[in-house]
This record gives sequence, structure tokens and C-alpha cells, in this order.
Amino acid sequence: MKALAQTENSNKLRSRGVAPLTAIVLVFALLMAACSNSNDSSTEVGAQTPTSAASQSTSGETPVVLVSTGIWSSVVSSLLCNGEANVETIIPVGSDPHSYEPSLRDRERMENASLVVVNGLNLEERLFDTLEAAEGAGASVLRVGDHVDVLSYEDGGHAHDHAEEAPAEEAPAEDAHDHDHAEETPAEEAPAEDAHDHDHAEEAPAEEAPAEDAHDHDHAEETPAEETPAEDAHAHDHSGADPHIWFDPHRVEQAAVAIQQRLVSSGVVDAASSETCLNEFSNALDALDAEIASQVEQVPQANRKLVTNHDALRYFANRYGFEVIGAVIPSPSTMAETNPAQLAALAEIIEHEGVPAIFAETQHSSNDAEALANEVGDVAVVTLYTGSLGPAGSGAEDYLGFMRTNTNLIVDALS
Amino acid sequence: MEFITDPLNWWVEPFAVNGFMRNALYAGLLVVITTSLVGTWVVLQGMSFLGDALAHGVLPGIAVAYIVGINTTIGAFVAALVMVLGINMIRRHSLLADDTSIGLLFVGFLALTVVIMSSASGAYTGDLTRFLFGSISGVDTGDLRRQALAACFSVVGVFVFYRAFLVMTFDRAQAHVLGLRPRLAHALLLVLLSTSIVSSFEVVGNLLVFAFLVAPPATAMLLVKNVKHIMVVATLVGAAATFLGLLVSYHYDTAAGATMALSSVVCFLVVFMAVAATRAGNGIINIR
Repeated sequence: MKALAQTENSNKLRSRGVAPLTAIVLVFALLMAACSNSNDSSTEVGAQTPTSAASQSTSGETPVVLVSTGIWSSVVSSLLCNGEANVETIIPVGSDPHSYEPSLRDRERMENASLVVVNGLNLEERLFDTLEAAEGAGASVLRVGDHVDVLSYEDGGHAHDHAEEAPAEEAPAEDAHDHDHAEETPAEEAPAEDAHDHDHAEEAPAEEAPAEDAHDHDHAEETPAEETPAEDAHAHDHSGADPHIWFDPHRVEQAAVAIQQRLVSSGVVDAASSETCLNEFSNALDALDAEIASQVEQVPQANRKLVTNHDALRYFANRYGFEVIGAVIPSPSTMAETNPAQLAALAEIIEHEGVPAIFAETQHSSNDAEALANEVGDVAVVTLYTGSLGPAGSGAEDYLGFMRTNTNLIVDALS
Repeated sequence: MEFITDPLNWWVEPFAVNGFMRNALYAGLLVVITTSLVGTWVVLQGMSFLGDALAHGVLPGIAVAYIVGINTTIGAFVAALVMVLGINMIRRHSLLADDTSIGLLFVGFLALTVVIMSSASGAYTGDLTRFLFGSISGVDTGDLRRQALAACFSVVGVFVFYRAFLVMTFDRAQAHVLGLRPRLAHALLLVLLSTSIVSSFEVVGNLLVFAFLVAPPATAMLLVKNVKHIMVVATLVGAAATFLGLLVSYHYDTAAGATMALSSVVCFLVVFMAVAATRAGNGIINIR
């Protein structure tokens, strides 16, 4: 070890040791601060209960429904309107669901929850392995994307995509929704619902409240073949599917039906009580849908064009007759990156089409969007809530507020 | 302060109650065995930067393998091989310093990964991201088996080539005399390094692999001088960092992989501080 000894001598450091010591103390202080903050990061989107959430969790009897994003938490809370369970959220408000890395506490929550509800379709990219392992250990996971008609990115998410280009999986009925949502009459409705029931055979028909039928007109087209493997399918069947399904209240309603059925079958709520919540929520969604549709009327037809940050607004566009003419990051994930050629092409499109606004998003840097706006000139950058609810006081604290706030922002920017 | 007031609950309970905590611990310990043994040589040889580069250099291989549809482990190995060969080629045919050739390929491979992820197959980015970053909170028995195999491979490799590595590290001239070809030994070390990285990072992620490759051996070198002792102490330090990191992530709800990486570096800093304090009388810190 002579050589070692030599290098040792050449590497002596004077220890007037204050600097390294201070550094270490600082590191610890920061670590502790970070720890104590993140401790309360998992927000409880309170199931609106008469009793406080705190007293319930100490009683130890209230079941917990764990939800990946705040947006779906809000939906699940609405389905538990009598406070039958505590709804907890994995990904904190303001975080990007595409890039959230779970803690081991999250893993424990998954296993202890009565039900885990996630968006699926690869939205929660870094949660996937953990979810799958938790599922292997007996956690009950509902992937909402498996129960909704999805749009796919068959064209690779490129700029010239029209809402009318219905992807193969779409039921033909879909086109109709782009234009005549406001006029939908119950007369159109097929006796749907069945498509969703196959894996919950024990569920009583009692669930099928008459009110339900009014919203399910296009479920009938879903072939059972597509749906049967629902539990095992995970996201693999949907490679290339657009995960941002919550931007269409109608699809959220499909999701709500599936979630409610799972809540009942996993014993979190009883069918009768949750039926009331579901009806209430469905009505709220219908009202929301009508409200958005009528607001969109204010936007001149020629202006119904969206340029987004990452490709997140297709469902909204598809539902309300907008056209997504481009995205700064032409990918369904925020983990990708743009390139100058794409930006230049997009700038040209924006100029050519005379689009008045580019829509950035709260949980992602808007640098590229702003650079693009500067490039084009006369274009506003408007920040939408996309993958996360807004903070308290933003008006986007729950799903309905989230959609209203976004709609207002979009309508104001384009009209 | 629960870890003082209620030690049993804080330190033991999480592992006793939760299968996934035990799996994460086993996986972490197997990774530590793999990386500490190989990492000792990496740190002694001053190859840390190469280790970091390789930990990221496997990413484009995985991305391509995933898109083409072949085994991602093979893709990772191929990428590591291409990177090592490329670095050696630049080193041999130019006057550039080692860190420059490593840096060039490092940034090149990392950029390539982002390009691939942002390219035409962008719609599949979601799937891809899952392959690029491991997850200690999602370890299953298959992962454990693979990691155990890699740990065995490292133990055997390091044991068999111990003398060759030792001589190569400390006295290249003598290595030639003894017939222990240092270039071959170096190549073997690179193979071991690649193996430990490829096997580990799909389980725990590349940040953690690199942290465990460097921090525990570096910590051990603050405490002991003999190479064998360094290996043993590095493994123990790594094990402690794993244990602590898992518990912090569990109790304080922090990102699992990053917390373990951080805890290994904090372990280094604590030991560094303690060593500095005890040697303050001499006015000298031994950093090796």
C-alpha cells in the first residue's frame, strides 16, 4: 500500500474545518425542512363530510380511496358525497403527473387503500412500476382510461390534426358530439351501460337509474372484446392513446360510472347511497357540459383553434368543436422536448391561421411557449390548468371549477 | 423525533409489516453488494466520471431496444459497450484528456436519448419513461433474482481478478512484469462495471446506481486503507444508507430512489465530518 500512502500525502487538506461543517449543517437543515414540508404534501381532498377528515382517520374505520391526481380525486370525492370514505391524493397539487416519483409511503398507501384510482393510459409514467407491484401484492387498482372511449395519437401527435379525423377505435357516433352536443336528446340513446358491467357481474341492476341512460349514448358501440380484459389490460392495450381524458366532461361521466361501480363492488359504499351521488354528479357534469358548450358559442367559428404546450387538449377540442393545430411539445407527455424546426413550422401555422393565443400550463415551464409567442408577435400566452388542479383560491380547486376556469381562459383568449 | 422516542416503530416496524419494504431492502442490499465491490475499484482508479457516464450511457440503448422490440437489457449492454469502445478510441487517437472523451460520449448519449424520446415515436414516450427509470418501490421477485445474479457475478469477478486489479491500480509497470496484463484487467473491470450498472438501474434508477457506485466506497476510504477493508466497509456503509434512505422515504413521504441516493451522500458527509473532527488535532484531513 505504498502507493496509497503516497497519494495520501499529496491529498492533505487543511482543516480549518468551518466551511465543510457549515455545509453539512446546512444540508441537514435543508433535508429536514424538505421532509417536514412533504409530510403534508399528500392532500386530503376532503370527501365533503359533516365530521372532519382528521377525526375520521383516527377512528381507523373509514375506508380510504387513494387517487393519483387531484382531478380524479375531486371526481371520486363527488361520488362519495356522503363521506363514506376518505379520498387521498398521491400527486400533490401543482405537480406534473407525468414525472412524479412515488415514495415508499405511497406504496404503502396503495396497499392499504380500499381502492386505488389512477388515470392510466401512461399518464402517471413513473408510478407505473410501483402500481403494478402493489397490484401484485393485492392492491385493488382501477385504471380509469380502461373504461372510457379513448382518442389515439395514431398520427404521432403532429401539428395538422383535425378533430374530425376519428381514430379507428372511435365509435362512429363520436363525430356527432363534435357539433351537436347541445342538442342531444334522450331519444338518441341506446340502452347502454352494459359494456361496463361485465367485470362486476354481481352488481345489481338497481344501479342503472333511469337518469343514467341519458348520458351513455355511445357506450353501446363499445365491443365487449375491447373491454373484457379490462383488469389485466393496464395501459399496454392503449399504447398511443391520449391520456388526458378528463378534458371531456362526457368521458368523465363514463369514468364516474365505472368508478362508482368499483366503489360499490369493493365495498366502500353501498349502491343506493352512491347512486344518489352519481346522479347528482352526472347532473353537475351535464350542466357543466352545456355551460361550456354555450360559452364556446361566443368564440367565432374561425377562432376555434388551439395551440397547446404539450398535447393535452384533444378531448376538449374533440368535444367542443375546436381544432388542435399544434403543440409546442408535440407529444402526449411533458417528458419530451421540442425542436426548432417544429417550433418554426408551428410559428408559421399560428401566423397563417391568425391564432390569438398559445395555451401554456401551470405545471410545466412556459419558456418555449413564450419564445414562440415572441417569434410570432401579436399572440398571448395563456396559462391553463392541465394535469393538476389549481391551488386554493384559484377557482380550479375541484374538477368543475377546473373545467370552468379553463373554459373561461380559453374563451376569453380566443374571442 | 419519533426515531428516538419510538425506535422500534420507526426502525423496525415498516419492514416487519410491509412486504414491499422488505423487497426494497433486499433489492437495495443486492445493489449495494454489486456496486460497492466494483465501485471500490472505480473510485480507486479515479473512474467515477466514467461510472456516471455509463449509468446514463445505457439509456439510448434501452430506448432503441424498446422501440425496435428487443430485450432492453441487451440494448443497455450494447450501448455500454459502444460507449466504452468510443471512449477508448478517442483516448487512443487523440491527445484529449480522459474526462474530455468521456464527457463527449456522455453528453452525446444523453442527448441521443432525449432525441429518441422526442422523435416520431413520441406517442410511446410514456412506456419508454418507465423503462428508463427504475423504481425501488416497485421491486418484484424477478428483479430480486436478476439482482442476486449480478451480485454473485460481481463478487466472483472481483475475487478472481483481485490481484490483477490491485496491481493495475497501484503499479502498472509491475503488472507487466508479473504478466498481469493491465489493459485486459482494465477491460474486465469495465465489463464488471457495465454489468453492475445494467443490472441495477432498471431496478433502482440510474441516479441511485451512480450514487451507490461512488458514495459508499468513498466513505469507506475515509475510514480504512486496505482495499479489502474498503470493500467490506463500503458494503456496510451502502447497506446503512439503503436502510436509512428507505425509512426516510417511508416516514417522510419523499421520492424513494432520490432519497436513498441522498442518504448515501449524507452518510459520506457525516463520516467526513466525524473524521475531520477527530483529526482536527493534527490539522489534517486524510481524504484517502
